[in-house]
Amino acid sequence: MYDVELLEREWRRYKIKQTLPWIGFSFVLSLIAVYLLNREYIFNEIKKFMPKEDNITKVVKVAVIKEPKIKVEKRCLEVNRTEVVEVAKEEVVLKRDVNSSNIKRDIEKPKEKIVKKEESVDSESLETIDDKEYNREIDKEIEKIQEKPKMSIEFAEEDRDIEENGDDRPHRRKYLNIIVTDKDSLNEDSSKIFDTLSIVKERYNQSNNYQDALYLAEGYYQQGEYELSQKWALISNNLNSNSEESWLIFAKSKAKLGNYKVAEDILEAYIKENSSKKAEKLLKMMQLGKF
Amino acid sequence: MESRYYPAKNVFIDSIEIDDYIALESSVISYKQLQHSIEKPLKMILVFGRPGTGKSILLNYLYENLKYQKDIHYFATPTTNEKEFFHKIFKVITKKDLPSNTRVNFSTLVDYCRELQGKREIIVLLDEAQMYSGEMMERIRLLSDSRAIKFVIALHQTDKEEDVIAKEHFQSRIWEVVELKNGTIEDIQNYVHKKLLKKNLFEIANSIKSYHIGLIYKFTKGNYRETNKLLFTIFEIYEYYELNDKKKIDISKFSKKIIEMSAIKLGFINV
Repeated sequence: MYDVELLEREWRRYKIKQTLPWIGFSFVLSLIAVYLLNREYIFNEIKKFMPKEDNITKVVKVAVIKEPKIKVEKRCLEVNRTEVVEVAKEEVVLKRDVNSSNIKRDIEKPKEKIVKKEESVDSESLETIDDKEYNREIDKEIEKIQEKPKMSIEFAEEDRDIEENGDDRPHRRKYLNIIVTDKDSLNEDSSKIFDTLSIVKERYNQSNNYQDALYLAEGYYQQGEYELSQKWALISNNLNSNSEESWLIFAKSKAKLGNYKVAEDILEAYIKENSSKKAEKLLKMMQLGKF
Repeated sequence: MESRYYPAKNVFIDSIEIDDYIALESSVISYKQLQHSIEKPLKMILVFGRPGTGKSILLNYLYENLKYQKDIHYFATPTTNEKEFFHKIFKVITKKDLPSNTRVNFSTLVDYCRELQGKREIIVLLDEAQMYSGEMMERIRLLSDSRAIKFVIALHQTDKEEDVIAKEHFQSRIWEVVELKNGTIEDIQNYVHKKLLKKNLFEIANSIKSYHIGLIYKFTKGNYRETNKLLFTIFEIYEYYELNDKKKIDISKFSKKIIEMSAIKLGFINV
């Protein structure tokens, strides 16, 4: 008769050896399944332990697939896709010109307003102004605009290059600037603003002009459509890489989309090649977390 | 007290007894082929196959079936001593014993066999023929040339070099080869069930399902001798449990665990 107890022990060892690869395989499979089912939760949990980029603006990055590459030599921007959840406060002030021979700026008034905001934050005392105070100032300005319910259309045309370059081209670019400050009319006629952008967009499709692209970039930035403003800033930059505005809008859009690191890299790359005060100011704001 | 598994265990004792012969489809074909070859005017017939494929039992079955009809003789155990072997042959031919101190004159024996041509047809079944020396095989061939004696030679098929030599040796002289192979999974199923049912072990036979047979086949590769060994060990372990630790076995179910334990015991599984 055999030593059956010894045989039993050997059999148990054999079964363990036999099932071990399956256990490992099932474990790996279940890990993959758990990851696939809960990846959003896992990302969020991981994010909790990561240092915050910004202590003023709370931007939630949903997914940053890859760090963007900046090709300074070509003076063009190449950015990978990002998804961002943030809705900025917006005031819709657009201008477009049809007739006049002087081009002022594509987006004149809104820009001034934004500049005002930037300046209010970007002043020497910037570091002492806290986020709440800054927001309150913005709210006040919005309220002021809302108190004057009206909508006006201004005509404008390019003026800056003419003075600088002595350019007296017969066909100057014309813009129609629609200024909407009426709260109600804003809600009712917001489609008109988009119409303006779509008109410029159509024109761009025919002209491929960098200023049209820049106009669209600024317009979408004003609308809070940062994905689109980023896209059009890139297009504009591809057409004219010397355009400082396209660099700035692109960086601002990136920042608004939560990609502060990318935005700062872009500005640093630009400043390295061009001594731009605007870019430096913007970069400083971003680094201080004031943007 | 005798275990219920004791008779089941004994069913699978490896033997060449005629009672243990199981008429499987493949073995019936081999038997008929061999029987048909014997009827032909052949001098030598080779039964060829790996150990455990049923060569010995086939020769024994043939002998038992024909011993009253033909002048047939079965040499189950090989005789490596030439003197002893020819004493046996002498007795087959003359039906007389030679004194132990006498030596058979081979040429006289061959002449005598030639005289018997047409008068008698002697069939000699030689099992385990790989044990005979080349010289003896040559003498066997000379005897078969007399046409009075027909030899049926069972030879192991191995991977060894001498096996190839032996095969080549016979190839030029043998007119018919009956090759036996390992059983298929269906053959093994029939073999196991028929063996158990032959001894009226219905309950045990019914408890062995096709997946148990599949597992047994996996280990034995359809070799009947290995199947016998494995089932013998299985029932021996069952017997141990029944007598010592009954709660570990379920008599209504055949245990995969015990099959694997037996496979470990016999070295089919290396732990």
